[in-house]
Amino acid sequence: MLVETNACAGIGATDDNCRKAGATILDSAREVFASSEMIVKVKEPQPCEWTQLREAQILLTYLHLAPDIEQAKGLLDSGCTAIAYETVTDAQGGLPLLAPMSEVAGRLAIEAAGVALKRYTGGRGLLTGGVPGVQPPVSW
Amino acid sequence: MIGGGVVGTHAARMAVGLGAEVTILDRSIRRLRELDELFEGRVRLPLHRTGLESEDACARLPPPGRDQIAVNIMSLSNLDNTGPRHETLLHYPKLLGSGPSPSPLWTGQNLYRRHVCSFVCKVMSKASHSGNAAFTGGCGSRL
Repeated sequence: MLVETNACAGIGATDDNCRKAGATILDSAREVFASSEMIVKVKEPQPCEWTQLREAQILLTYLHLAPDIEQAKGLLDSGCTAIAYETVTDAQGGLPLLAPMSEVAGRLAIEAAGVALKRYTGGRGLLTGGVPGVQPPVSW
Repeated sequence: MIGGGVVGTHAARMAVGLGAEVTILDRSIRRLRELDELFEGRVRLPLHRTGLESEDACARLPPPGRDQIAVNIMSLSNLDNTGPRHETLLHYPKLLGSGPSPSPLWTGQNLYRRHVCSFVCKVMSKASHSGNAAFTGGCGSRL
């Protein structure tokens, strides 16, 4: 398993942590692309990465191609086999890889909406839950 | 919440936790029943297939399948004198779906359905503002 240096820094895991788990650390994503049969990512490939993908390579990541025709074309041109996490189904017909993202999205939406209600962000100066004695915000 | 899927459900959990008044709209009565179980009456669950769409969009809706709403077609005149009180619904079995099964609702035949839907939602909205939680929960599970 090849891992780009600092790839896990965002979750507090150092390169050493990755090495202890059995990974080999490489200096750049480009090197990982060049020497791997299967690329495992979270976010969709950037334009500069489309050209690094090649036939017989497998790409596993979130893709969301529907609104991103450039991405779709780039992947087609690369000839790789791309598997979008969000389309993977389980035995029950559910979407186990999409679901956690949706859980985050839904929960985060309320925090974002709460911020948007604040006066200093241009909102109406309301609290999501209201306060005693005051009618709570009504959105519909 | 527009839609009671994974995103809508988790957003609703957060909003309920913050003390907000929450309404979840979903086109599936089966899903609304699940949400009713989950939230135990703390969110409003009006059956709402058309309220946020234009009438044109409404006309393009596919005919209901197994999640067909349990509201019968009725004349608007039956609603005119009722007023927005929950007794209206509770005493009108056809509106709550305990009458005969609704006939298939094809475009053009369901002229009054959207009125019934918007009426139901309006009533539920008013009822919940007056603190009538029993009505909200009851309707969510009965529709």
